[in-house]
Amino acid sequence: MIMKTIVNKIVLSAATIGLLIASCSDKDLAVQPRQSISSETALTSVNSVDAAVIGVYATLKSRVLYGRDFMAYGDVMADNAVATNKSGRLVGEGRNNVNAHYANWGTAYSAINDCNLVLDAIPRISAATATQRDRWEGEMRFIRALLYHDLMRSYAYAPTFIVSASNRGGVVLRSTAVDNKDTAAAFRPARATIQQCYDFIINDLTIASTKLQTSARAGAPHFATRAAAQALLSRVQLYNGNWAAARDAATAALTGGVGTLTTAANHVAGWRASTHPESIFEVRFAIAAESLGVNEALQTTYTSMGAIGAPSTNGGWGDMVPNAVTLNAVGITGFPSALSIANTAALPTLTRTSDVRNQLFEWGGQRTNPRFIECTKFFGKSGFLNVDNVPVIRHAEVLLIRAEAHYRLGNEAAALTDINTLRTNRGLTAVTLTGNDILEEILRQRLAELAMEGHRFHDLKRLGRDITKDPSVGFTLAITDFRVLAPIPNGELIGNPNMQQNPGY
Amino acid sequence: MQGAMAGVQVVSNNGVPGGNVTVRVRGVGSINASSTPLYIVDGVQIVTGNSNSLGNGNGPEGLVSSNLLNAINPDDIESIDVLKDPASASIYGAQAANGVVIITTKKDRAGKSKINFNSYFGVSRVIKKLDVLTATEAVQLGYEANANRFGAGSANVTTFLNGVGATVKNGIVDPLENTDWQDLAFRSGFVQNYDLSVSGGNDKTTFFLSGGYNRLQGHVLASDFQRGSLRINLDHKVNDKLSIGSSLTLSSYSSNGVFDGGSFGNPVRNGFMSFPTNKPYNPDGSFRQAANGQWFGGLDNFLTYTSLNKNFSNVKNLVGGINATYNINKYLRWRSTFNLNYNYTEEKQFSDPRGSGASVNGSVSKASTQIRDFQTNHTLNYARTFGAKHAVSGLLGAEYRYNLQTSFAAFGQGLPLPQFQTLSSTATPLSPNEGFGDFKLLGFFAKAGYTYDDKYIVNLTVRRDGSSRFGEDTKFGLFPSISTAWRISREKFMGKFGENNDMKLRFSYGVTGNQAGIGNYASRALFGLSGEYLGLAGGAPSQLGNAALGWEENETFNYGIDFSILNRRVTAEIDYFSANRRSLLLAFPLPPSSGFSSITRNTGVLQNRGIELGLNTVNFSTKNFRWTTNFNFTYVKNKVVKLNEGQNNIGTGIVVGRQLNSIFTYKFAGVNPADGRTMYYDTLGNITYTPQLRDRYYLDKSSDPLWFGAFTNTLTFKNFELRFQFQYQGGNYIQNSDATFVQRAGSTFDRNQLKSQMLRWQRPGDMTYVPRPWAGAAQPGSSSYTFFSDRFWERGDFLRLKEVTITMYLDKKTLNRLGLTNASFYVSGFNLATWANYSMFDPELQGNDFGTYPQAKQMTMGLNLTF
Repeated sequence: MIMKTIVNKIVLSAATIGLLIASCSDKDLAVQPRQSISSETALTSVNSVDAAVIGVYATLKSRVLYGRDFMAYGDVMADNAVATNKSGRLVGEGRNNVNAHYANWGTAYSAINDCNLVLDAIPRISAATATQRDRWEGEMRFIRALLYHDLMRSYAYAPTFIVSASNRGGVVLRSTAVDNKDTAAAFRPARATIQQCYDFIINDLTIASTKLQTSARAGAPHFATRAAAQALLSRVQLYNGNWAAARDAATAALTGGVGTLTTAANHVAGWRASTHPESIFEVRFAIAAESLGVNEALQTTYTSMGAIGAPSTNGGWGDMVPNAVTLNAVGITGFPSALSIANTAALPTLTRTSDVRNQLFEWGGQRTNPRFIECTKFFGKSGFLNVDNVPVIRHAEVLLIRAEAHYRLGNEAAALTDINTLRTNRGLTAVTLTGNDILEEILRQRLAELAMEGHRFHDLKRLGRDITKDPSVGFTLAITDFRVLAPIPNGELIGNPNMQQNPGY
Repeated sequence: MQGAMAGVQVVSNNGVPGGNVTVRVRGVGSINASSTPLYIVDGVQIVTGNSNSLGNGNGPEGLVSSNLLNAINPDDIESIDVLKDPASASIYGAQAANGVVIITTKKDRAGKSKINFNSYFGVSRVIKKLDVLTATEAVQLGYEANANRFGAGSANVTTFLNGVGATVKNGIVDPLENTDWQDLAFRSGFVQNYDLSVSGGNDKTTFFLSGGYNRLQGHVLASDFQRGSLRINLDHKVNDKLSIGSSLTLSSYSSNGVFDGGSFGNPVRNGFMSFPTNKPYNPDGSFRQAANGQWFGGLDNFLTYTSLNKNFSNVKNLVGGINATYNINKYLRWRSTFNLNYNYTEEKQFSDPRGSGASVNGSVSKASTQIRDFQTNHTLNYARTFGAKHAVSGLLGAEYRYNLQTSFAAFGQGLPLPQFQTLSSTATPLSPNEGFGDFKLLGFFAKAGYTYDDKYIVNLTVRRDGSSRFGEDTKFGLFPSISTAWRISREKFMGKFGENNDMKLRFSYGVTGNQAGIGNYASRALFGLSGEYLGLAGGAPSQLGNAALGWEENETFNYGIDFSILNRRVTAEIDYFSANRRSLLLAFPLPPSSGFSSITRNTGVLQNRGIELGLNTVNFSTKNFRWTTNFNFTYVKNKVVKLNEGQNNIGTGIVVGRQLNSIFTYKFAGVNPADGRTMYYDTLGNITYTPQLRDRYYLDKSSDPLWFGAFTNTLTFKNFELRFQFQYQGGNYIQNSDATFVQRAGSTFDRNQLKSQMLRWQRPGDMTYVPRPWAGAAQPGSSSYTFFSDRFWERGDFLRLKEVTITMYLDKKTLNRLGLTNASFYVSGFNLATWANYSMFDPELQGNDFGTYPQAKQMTMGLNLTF
């Protein structure tokens, strides 16, 4: 009898459970992710907007932005650096192969959309103070301008030099966010004109300059400041050909209180310091986990030795090295014309001028044969292997922007003063020049000062000068060649008749 | 199960001990979601796949086995059945779209207790060694590459020759001492296996207990596998109405693995690529390294990796369940089951500071993954025969499944003393990572069947399944199916045919759902914390989401005929199927300037059509001799029917109107006899040396095999049985990435090459397909020798003698004398011979061959005793 009762109970419970399941409905299938939150509840509090702002800064560390490409490509695609084919990376870019180009489109627009989400959210955050709102708006407009200018540098011509036959305009301008699938699926963007884009960028930087604080936010130069907005504005106006505006913004940036020009005595040390003393805006790589790794970080891209001054030790790849153009500009001679020697051979002694900048170049390591002279500007200076802060804009560049602006405005004396300020702070003597020689000296100083920092390609492009590739590559890339502009990703063109691809792709 | 069934393709992806097999039932079933069938062991859905967490960004992926199917001890398996068409598979649940593999373990039987012992031992060798150059030959090609480019008297030639310690007379390299690095990479494998099981019971209670141990030393250095397992099946009849049962499997399996793919630590790849002038050891016995001034080129001495590094995984697995069956009356039965599948995987990788970890002073990664999967299933069964001819059946049921997966991983650097290999000893602990994911499935189903006189058979099934992965309004899908059969041999008009023969026509139609392989929260719009800056956490939208996301569907029409003729000595099953895999999840591209690259939508359609043939014959049957044959053949071809609206292709491999994984590449035209440059065809069919993107063309086939099958013979003579099985597969191309490294005509003279490269072009008029050695691998005005063209897509067709087994059974008299019920002794050989035209190790893989751990030839001998 007892047995039977137990049995009945078992049957009854099983049946009950079965019936419970049979009565389940949609809501019983509810699960909750723990590593993400629903988009609707995001960006409704001060803390969440703060996190979104940090998220945008974090994107700048991507390889296709300041993690590598915007430092390395501007040189390897120009006339002053070569790819070594040690890991195979940058070889296509070094030969200006079709499609081997900047690929910042997707990442930049993702970050721009994140900027727009914050800008759209600011009015909704009633708990925020006016100071917080200004800071959020200033920082987002600054980063949006930086991203847009870099998009323009990749995919479009600068107003100072446009190849009309190949000009398909600027890039897609967006000042509001895409935040649901229906607006995203219906989005059929078109390219704005080059001038519309520059106006948009200049407007962002002008507003950012008023919203951002003069006294640096704690963490400068790693967060945007008024000086950073003005420094970037001077660069943008230089590309825009508005010399007076470039000059004035440069002066404001140089006196903005963020960073200071290094001297001949401390210039090399500046490149060994975690934060570069000249930086007006710098992307911070703070901890080892932020490294882009042994294949793509700047240290491994530029160098192959394990320690500075120790070419027998092994470190990174050393995929990209300066060629004679850069080495001569910083005052190094005595290297073979092939730029390299076999690992087993004795190291030729390099002859160096008094220019302190040449101390940032030395014989590299022996990771794969042969060895080259490498640039040591990025050598794990944040304290970990392959972790380097990236100076986005620094005093020397702004000084050279102002020199160029003065020259264009006919003020040769002021241009020479700026040039000589830089020269004497780099171990060189002052020069006296006139006319076009001044412009050439400015460009030579840009080459020497900003080598391997991603400027040369854009300088030649905005000036309309052909790119005489290294003899090992063996051709001259006319500045009118379609390969000067990057291809717009295919996803942008599918089903969108409004969009125009750059010519040749 | 390999080769046993038509329509079921079982491919060993590699030869890793305890490694994965890919099982495809009737071809590839999805574009982005999973194509893996559902596995059911004794009614429990098994979590399949790999439980690896490591290998993402923290160094090269390690080849350790975390294949969850290893939890099942093959000796416990009684039978494996595969349900191929949706109509028969549908009752098995929401994930039946890719077919169902039903594994039944050995059951307990009442009666005298039976003890079974099975054990085997064996050795294995790599399936083949690649024919590579000797030191003298490799240096000869390197010398020519330098001399051709820079001149015989150039500094480059001198540097190269000095580097490898060689001398040249009259353009011929003097003999050099050779190191066979493949001999260092491969070794004799060894396998041992023991199983003991006991079964028995009385008419109330029956039991089956088994324990097994398997140990395998891999035929590649530093790889091994071992497994211990325990199983208990217990059934008890409480009374006439109620019976209860339970089963429990516990297993633990561990493996040490080597690094995979293009990694510098992969002994397979570096075994055939290490330059043969290199010596593995210094005179003091330490490992020779590039840093010691030796000529290793771009490679490292892999022995430092295999001997100093660690790459270990351990999986603990529990599958347990209880069930109860209650017979309400003669015709009606209630059955409930509750099952738990619990899995814990632990992985560890250590990079020694004396070897690969030197640049970071040693590093260690550790990860653990836990899976908890709960299932419950309740059915009400009805079966009744009316009169002699009407059989009716019905079933109502519901099931529920909850799957939770959590993981933890961390990585650390800075372990200067190799004796310390734990995370807590690292100077810099890095990237701690916690993972969480869960999903729920809920299904209701009903089935009705009617059979008239075993002649006309109809079954109807309908399911309603919901998955938490899909959008609010699209969580549930409705999946109906019908199957019919007509036993034509019982018809009067067939006359006497039906007395000793049988013939049945079958038709079925069904729709099943697929949600496997789809992200747990795929339909949601999400905002996540992503990246840090200055020690602060950053956030960003991570996914736009699509609330209308729903099930992928497989709609199949199946037409079949079964017959058994010549007094049932020839039986055959022939099927034709046409499957529309529709509502496939595809990424709908968004303009990237929206800030997002895509959203996922149910838009794709893929068609799978094929025929299957299974033939069993008794060729010869006398008292002492019997010969039977099983032959099966499958042809299956898929075609992409539809992608997103207005979209004709995704990349180059997924194109509307073509097979999935189509191959779009350049056409190699050989080597110019005049100057030894590589030639390609351009889009007009003319020769070009520098092909452009537009010159690519579609190969006639894809990387998915079109046909496969097996041919098995069993011959029995008195107490002896001989069984041999051939396996074949083809109609596909393999992407031979390794070939781009070993077919460079010596032009990157720091890596060894295949022997075929000695056929290099040497002087005008040479007709060869191997180009002129040229330092840097690109002669002026031509493309690099590593340029990926159809030269490196190789046909995957092969025929293989998969298995030969000779078994000797002891006769009755001896058995009685020894007190045994049954005893046999067997010798088996596996992968003994392969006929293929493939330049690397093994064509039994699909897709990309890049440092793949090759399979082994294996010889085993074993003993099976029953008391």
